[in-house]
Amino acid sequence: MRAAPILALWLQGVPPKALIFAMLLSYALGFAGMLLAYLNYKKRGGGKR
Amino acid sequence: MVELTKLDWFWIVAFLALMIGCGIVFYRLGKRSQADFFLAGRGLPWWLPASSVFATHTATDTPMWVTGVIYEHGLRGIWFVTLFSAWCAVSAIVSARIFRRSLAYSQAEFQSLRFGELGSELMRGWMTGWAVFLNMFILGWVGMAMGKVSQLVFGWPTWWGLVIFSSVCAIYVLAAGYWGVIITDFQQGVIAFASIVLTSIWGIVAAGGPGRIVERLHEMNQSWRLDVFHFTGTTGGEFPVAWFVTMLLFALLGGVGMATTIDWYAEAQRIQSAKTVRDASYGIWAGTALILIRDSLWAICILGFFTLAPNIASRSEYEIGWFKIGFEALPAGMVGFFFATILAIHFSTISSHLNLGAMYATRDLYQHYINPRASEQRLVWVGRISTLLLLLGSFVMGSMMTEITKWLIFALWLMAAGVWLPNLLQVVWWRFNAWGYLSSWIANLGMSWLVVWVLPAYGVIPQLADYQQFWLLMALGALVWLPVNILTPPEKMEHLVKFYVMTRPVGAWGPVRREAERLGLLPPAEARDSSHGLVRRRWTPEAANRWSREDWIAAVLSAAGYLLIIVGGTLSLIGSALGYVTLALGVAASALMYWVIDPKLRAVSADYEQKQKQYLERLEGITRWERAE
Repeated sequence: MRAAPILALWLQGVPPKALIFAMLLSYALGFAGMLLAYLNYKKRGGGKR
Repeated sequence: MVELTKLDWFWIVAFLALMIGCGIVFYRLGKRSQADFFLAGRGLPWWLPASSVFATHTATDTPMWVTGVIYEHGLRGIWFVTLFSAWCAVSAIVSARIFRRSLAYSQAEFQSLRFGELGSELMRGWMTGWAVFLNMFILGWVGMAMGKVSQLVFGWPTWWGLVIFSSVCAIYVLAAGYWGVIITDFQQGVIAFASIVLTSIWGIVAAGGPGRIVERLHEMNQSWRLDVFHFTGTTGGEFPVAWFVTMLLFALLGGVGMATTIDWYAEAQRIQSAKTVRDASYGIWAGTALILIRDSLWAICILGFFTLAPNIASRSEYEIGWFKIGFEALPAGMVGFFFATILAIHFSTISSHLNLGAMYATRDLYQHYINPRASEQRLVWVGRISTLLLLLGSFVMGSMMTEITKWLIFALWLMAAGVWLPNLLQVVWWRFNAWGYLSSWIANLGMSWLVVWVLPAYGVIPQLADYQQFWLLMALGALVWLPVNILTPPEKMEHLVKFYVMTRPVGAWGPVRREAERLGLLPPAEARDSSHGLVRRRWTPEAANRWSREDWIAAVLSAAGYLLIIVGGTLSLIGSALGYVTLALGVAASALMYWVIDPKLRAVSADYEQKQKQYLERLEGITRWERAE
């Protein structure tokens, strides 16, 4: 396997492409939520004494 | 395609009119405030959340899933279904009480109460994004199952069934929010339960009755299918003892924590919508008990279906066995009622997840991060827009899901494995902090990929059984979150004291409790009065707010009741004398659980209702906009 592991598995059809899409979307939304939380925290001056 | 008579169409149209009518009738209640749109004003008696738990977890794909495992495994297949529900046995006594006291709308909001500072915010943001995804995903998944059923009945392309029926359901969710969801869930629950009983009995009779089903299985040399504990070995095969023990621990201990299964998100909303702690506890207990009875009936019906058609090799064919029984065995005129039942179980799940996903988007995303000063009116509208966006997103997700249900269940289960223990620790250990919890979630994402696909594909590790993956993921996760948790400081004591006083969590909270007592927020713990005997029956609110022996007795009886009811119920339906005895023991254990815990729950609720009253008065204060209209 020369390609990156995830890509190689995708090309082999294991796991299905729709599953990879669903997994990536879950990560993307989770991290987007965290980013929003971080920006909001900074905006409110969080962490400063 | 199925031939439908005028009477069949009458049932279908009448059902749709009833559901949309509920949206219109409860429109005014739903639009009063955010608390109404998402929690029905937190004033529901226990039987409404109970029927909603049952209806929500009876989805269009559920009969397919149950049929699949029973056809493949015989009666031992009930464990594949039941053990995913059994956590409610303990949760009803333990975590439901803690979560209800927190008054958090969602589990994401609970993170802000349990933890503090940046870590809690990141955790809340993460969980919000994850929950929005999860609800959209379930909507797509269940919607696609409806598409397949519609294809069977009407010969439509699958996406028609997905789009048409989810959209009709969205009408009453958009109009009345959670009020619409809970009121229709009650009706859908009654219709679904009655129809499942009727269709299953009809199917059992069509197979010659329980006696004939048993005889046929003996004749076919398939007697093992009647054994609910037919293990394939200690660690190997399709149903090893190790799997059973893992799942039992996963479910029962998981009930102490929160979010230990993907189901928790829906239960959390039902717990918060109940009017008291007592109603919340009984709501999820009774709703899940109905699920167990449903599973017993389905199991015997599918066993009968197996005796009639034992040689179906394709899973996708035998999975629709229960639907086939309904459409082929029921008389003309009742087929429409059966289809209305399928719509009922479909709508109950779709409506719940539309409203639940919109709650996270509104409460935890919009109100918390974007517009904290939004009026109640605006929040209701944001709730409606979020509902619509989730509906559209579910069409995209559903259109991608054709043959991947098995993979997705597997993936979600694995995603839960690495955070199972942290989910417990956030409730039972004061020293567990936001960074430990967040790192467990992030680590589990990568590790689940490695353990399931990447490392076996490269031959680094063998392909493991799912229960082995669970333990490995839990251990690997601990290698990350445990050092992170120890190397980062604990949450601030004043924050923990506030959380403790409000929710009274169970477990290792000694330093926090002592600080709360030192500050005068809680009276010092009294020594147990031996005059009460083994089980105390008279409680003061303050004594009832503390965890005691009665809680653990009730939790054990509750779990025993569930397990005995599912085994006894299933075996009784095939006429087994052992089944009748087991079922009677299950009912007795449940009744004893009620006798032990009810006085305590009543005392907790009496105290809680006082606080609730103040909360509702404040809520009324901020909903004046409607009166000003």
